Amino acid sequence: MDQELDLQTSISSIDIDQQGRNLVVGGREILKIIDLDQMNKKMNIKQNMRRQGTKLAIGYVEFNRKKPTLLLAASVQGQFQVWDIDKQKETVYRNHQAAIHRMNWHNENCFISGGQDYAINYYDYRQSTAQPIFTLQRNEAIRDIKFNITRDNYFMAASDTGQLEYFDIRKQLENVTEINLRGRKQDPFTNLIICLDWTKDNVLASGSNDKEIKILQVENHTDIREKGIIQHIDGSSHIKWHVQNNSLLSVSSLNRDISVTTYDIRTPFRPMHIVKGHNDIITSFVFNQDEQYVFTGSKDKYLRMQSVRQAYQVYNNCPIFPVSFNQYNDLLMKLESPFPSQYELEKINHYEMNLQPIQKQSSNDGIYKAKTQNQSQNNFNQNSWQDILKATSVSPQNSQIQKNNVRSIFYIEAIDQKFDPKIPFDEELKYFQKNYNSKKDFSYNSNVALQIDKPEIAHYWKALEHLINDFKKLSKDCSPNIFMQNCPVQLPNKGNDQSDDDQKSPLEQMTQVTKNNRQHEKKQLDSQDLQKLYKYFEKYPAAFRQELDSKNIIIEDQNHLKIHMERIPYYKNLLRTMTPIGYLLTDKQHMMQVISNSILQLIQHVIDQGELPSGFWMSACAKNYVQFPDLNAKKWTQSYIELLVAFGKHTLAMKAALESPVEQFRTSNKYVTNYKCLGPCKNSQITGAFCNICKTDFICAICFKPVRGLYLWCQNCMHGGHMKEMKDWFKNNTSCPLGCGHNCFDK
Amino acid sequence: MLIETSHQDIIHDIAFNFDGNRFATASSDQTMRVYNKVNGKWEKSAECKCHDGPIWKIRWADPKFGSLIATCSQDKGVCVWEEKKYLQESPSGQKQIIIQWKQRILILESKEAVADIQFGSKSNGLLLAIAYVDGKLQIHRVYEQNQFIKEGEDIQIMVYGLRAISWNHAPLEREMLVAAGNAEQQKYLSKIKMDHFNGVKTMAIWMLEYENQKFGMKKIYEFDEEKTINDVQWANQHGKSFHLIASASAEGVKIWQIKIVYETQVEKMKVFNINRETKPNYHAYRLSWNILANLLAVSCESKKMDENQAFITSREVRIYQNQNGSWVAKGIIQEANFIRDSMYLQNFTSSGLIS
Repeated sequence: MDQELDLQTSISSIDIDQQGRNLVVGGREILKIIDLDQMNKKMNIKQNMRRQGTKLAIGYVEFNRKKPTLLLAASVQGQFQVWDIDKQKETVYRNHQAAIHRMNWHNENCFISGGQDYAINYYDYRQSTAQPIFTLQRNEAIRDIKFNITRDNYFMAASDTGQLEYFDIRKQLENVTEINLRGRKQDPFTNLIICLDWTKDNVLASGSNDKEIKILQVENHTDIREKGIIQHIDGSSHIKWHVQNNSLLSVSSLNRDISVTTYDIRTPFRPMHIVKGHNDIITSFVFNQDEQYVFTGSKDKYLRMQSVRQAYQVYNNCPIFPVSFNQYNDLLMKLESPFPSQYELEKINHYEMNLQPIQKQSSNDGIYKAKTQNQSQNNFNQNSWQDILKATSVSPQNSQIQKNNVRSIFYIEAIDQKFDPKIPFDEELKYFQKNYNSKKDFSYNSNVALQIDKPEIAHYWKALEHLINDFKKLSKDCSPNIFMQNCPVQLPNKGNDQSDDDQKSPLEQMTQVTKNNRQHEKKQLDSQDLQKLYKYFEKYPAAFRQELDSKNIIIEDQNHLKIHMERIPYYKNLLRTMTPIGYLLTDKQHMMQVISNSILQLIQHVIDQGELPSGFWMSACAKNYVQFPDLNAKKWTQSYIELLVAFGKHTLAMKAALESPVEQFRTSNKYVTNYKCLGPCKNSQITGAFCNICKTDFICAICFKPVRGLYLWCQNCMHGGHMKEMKDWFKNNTSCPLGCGHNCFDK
Repeated sequence: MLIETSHQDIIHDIAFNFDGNRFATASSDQTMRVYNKVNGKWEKSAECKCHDGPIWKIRWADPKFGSLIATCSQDKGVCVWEEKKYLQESPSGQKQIIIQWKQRILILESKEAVADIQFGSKSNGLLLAIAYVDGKLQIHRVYEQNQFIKEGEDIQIMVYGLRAISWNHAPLEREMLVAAGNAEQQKYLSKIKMDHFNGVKTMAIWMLEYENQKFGMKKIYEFDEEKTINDVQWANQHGKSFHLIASASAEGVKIWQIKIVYETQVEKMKVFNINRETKPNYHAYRLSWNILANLLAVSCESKKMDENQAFITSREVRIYQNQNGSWVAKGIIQEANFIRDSMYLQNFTSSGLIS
């Protein structure tokens, strides 16, 4: 369907005759007539009208609407020809001193021209001499000139400075009225009007370089007022109203954008569809008779014919209907009249045409009734009638509807409470707090979890307690003999005072490791130990297995844990993660490895269930007994801190950092959610306040000296300094003293 | 609660800020608006005209970098806005805070419209990914003096054009994002000359890498998805051993559970199809995870036949919740319902809503 013709020179103007049979193309070195095959929708070069040897660069071409054999071709050198295609006759006019920008046919024989030499000339083709009938001398160069379609004695001329002048051809020298759209004193390069087009209803569109398309309504020949503005994404090079639906307006761009965009003036913000395909600026475009195809001429030397039906429908491909959560589970969503897709739109139109084309109250609203040019010829009469109806009656109403049309946002607070009142977030936060206060007491935490109705978590706390107890006992028995290869969980050497563990240097640990190697020998496990080890395995899993067998029983154990049917999958998972099935426990070290692995997996399992707070506090409580792999522990801590910061719980986040299983977080005196060095080195290995690589530490943002005492910093931008300096600064300022642009005053 | 926005055209995007007490809206009418929560009510605090075309997406940056908003539009531009507050002393001696949104950066580097923008995770500095409708992706990074500098070359990520991107925000992991796009050739982008591909994958994870200090991107995983994806969202990881990514398409919503091993390899674990019961007249548009990634809000459109054999489309927001590892529909908020609710709440006059 689509076709392109390589014309080998840049095209500056194209036009189509009234019947849609011929297309004329004017450009730097060409003036060609192109035949349009209606049946096959093909373009063929019919006639090359440029004579050999003449150097004419055609800037504008136009067919006579009433006599399709007459053709105007204006060159940029200030001369123009009138061609009579049938007679092969050419009349050359040389009246303009400079480039002719636009010309326009008045009727069968008369036409008008406007150009860079400030003159408007009116001609009659029938006259024997190639001279104008009269000349109007203006003060500015004329950019575009167009006769009003319905009142053909009036024409509008647009000048370089953004001024529009309305003339009556019968009065010749006087302009009827003028309107200064952009003001003379403004920059002429941004506001010069490039193109004009009239509709049948005395509505004028003017496209200019300042990216705005102004719609003007002309009434009583003298009264011009602005009806609306369409903000285009670029300056407009060519502008055209659709004939079949006079609210549609197509525009091609001047500078950056390479497309023909169609707007509906009733919804001025929406580009309806976009036709693309060229590689350089589109200078001119025309539609065929039923507006199914668009012909575009471009500087990239191609003439293209494209189906409008297949154009890019912007609003069929755009993001609509947003939803958004915040951290309090508040939900925002949009509430407005839904935008109908093209398909539905046609349907609605069709529907109403069958019923009564009077007013559209029933459907969503009237303004969406954009007519598409996809409608078939059969509907044409009805369409145009509807258009007239709209044009006459709806225009004031439309604006009203548009104002009444609600575009709001619907806000639902704490949506999870609405659906599941069991997860109030405040409770959860209290739980964090409680956890902190009772940081090392597993059974206490278990009870806390029960209080906020999380029996699974309570159970996990219990299991963890058992694991840790067993681990403690085992590590007492064979205190220095722990060395494990390929074990994700590393065990710190255990003395009786566990609080000292974290302060031990890696060197010390190393020596112990070597000692381990020397003493490497396997002990036989005594039955007592085995019994202890299996205590928790037996106690809990047995109960659950029983439950799994008899699925209707609700077991209540001594901790008043209600175990409900639907939670069984949890326990299945727990069993799978905790007991490596078939693992033969012959060695104490193996046993400890198994236990520490189990602890890690237990906590990871809890976190995987989405219980990051519980998981983090479990690891914080267990950190004195087992050492977690660095990656996991860092990730948990950082995620948890980020979560707390998101809820604005900065103090709690600080406490969490101090309780973290990762030493790096504990030693830094602020909770650094950024684990990398904030300095230029971006080193991720910093421990604490001082970066060993780029040699920076906490420097006051004002006096640039290191801070030894109290460090006061903004929770958000992380900049700060000496307490005193900061106090002085924020007496008079609101923004960050370091100049990062953050507004610390906000908090 | 109903918030009247006085936008003159379709609202395309809403975004909460980090603290959850402000939100910004982007609309077709080329403006963005910012709302603040004051005493439990939402009040408009700012409005500015940003672009010359419809604004598609709007995003807040992490507060660590200040109050930054990025907008992207059909007019091929990406704008970064910054809120500035000034203390101004009134003649009577009282100090007043003046709030102004100023345009900080305008990025106009492409010939195509912008489909999506996303700020990267905060631990890696201020990073902005820009996805264009023709399938190209740009990464802009802020180094010194708050200047956004483009890194490397544009990278063609999707053959048939991008629709949405989403960063992985998990700490201690490489910078990676999931990109989703169109499944078939768009007429709009006719310049692409493609061999005949059967079954182009429309979702992939791309990782940023710096080899020999040269910026590049590498595809590390391709999802088994061949439908056009409208929206994709990477959930917060929160220390879990796996990741969740939700994607919305004409077939509904899928939640992909993946695992990242050895930093750069992706292991597929599970796919949840959470719209089985409403197939096939169910078209999902947008997604939003909550912060704990246990709730997922999906905006969708479902088509039903009425008595006259005509399709009636109804819009609704569905909430899904993770319960014991499976995704359960918790609630459906019909648009009709919330119109009624809001009328009840606000005593709406009859001129307004349903006209």
